Amino acid sequence: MSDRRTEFPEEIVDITSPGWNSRLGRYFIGQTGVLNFGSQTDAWAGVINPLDSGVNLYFDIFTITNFGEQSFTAEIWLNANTPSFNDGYATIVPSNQSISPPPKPKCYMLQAERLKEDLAEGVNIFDRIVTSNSTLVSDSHQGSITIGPGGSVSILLKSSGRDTVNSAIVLTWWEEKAERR
Amino acid sequence: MSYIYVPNHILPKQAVVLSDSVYHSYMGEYFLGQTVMISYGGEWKAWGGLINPPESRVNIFLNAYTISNFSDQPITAEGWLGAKFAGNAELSGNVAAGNQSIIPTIYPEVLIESASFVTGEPIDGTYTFVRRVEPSNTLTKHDFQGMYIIPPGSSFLLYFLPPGEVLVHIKIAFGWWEEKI
Repeated sequence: MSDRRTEFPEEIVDITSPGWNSRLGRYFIGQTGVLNFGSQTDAWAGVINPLDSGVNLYFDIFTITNFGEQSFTAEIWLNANTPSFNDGYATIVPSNQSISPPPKPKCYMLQAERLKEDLAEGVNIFDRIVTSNSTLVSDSHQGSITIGPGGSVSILLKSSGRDTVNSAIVLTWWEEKAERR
Repeated sequence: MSYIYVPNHILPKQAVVLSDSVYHSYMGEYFLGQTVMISYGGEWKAWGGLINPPESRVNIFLNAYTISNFSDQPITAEGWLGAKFAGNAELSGNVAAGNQSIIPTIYPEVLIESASFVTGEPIDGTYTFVRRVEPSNTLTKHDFQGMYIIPPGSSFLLYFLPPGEVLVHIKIAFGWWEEKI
């Protein structure tokens, strides 16, 4: 076997898109408070990219926690309208805590509990069943879901049971400048 | 703190690595979607899947599928390649491009179809795998990265075997990209 330097493979460091964007201070984690729903009401949380943001939203991971004894269904929606009755902002932090002052996201995250209205517009691209007393963690979408200014990614929780369900939703994403076309 | 000395000329380069599916999402070729609610039970069967129309001029590269079993019974799903079913199918409108920052919005060539309370068997095609799905659970299979490649006129179908004396409700979701031939 030859060990001449020129025949060695080139070494490169493999950085994932989330890792790289976190390093740049463009990666954010948003969490709702405890969301109550059930007995014909739903819970909702979504990250919204404002029309004038100037960034694209690269959606990465969702986690949905079920604190209850019964499973429920989570619907994942692209570009659904924000419910008119919502319970305000969810908490957002940048994943890179070493930057001072901390970077601020252009997107924002809203939450709603005991929701009585259906979601309008948008597409329900897939559903996930969340089993009792568990946290469902999605795979990293690695930026395969991209939302332009004016769009959103949101999750609607629905229970068929009569009992009140406690849940919480975490959404993570990064933001990159949108190219003008 | 001390460092190991690494001469500049052998320092590894850093590279952000995109998976094939993410690359195709950047290109506006990646799609997500799910079937309408599918019902069956007793001696009846059901199916749902991705159908690549003969005139589509694209190949499908399958990246993910999920099966949500909303019943309290386990169910059995068979994966079929290139199969067809006699009788009517329901077309799903719950389909969207992963890259929503492209204007005008793009849509797939491929169709998501399903049928409830089916009596017939798959016609032609190849039976390639079997999955058992737990009650009240979403089975997820992610990151094929295009392992199944479906040409025009072919299909990727999940076929659900008779569950016995219960009524079952399910939804199936898919993630895939399309490449022009």
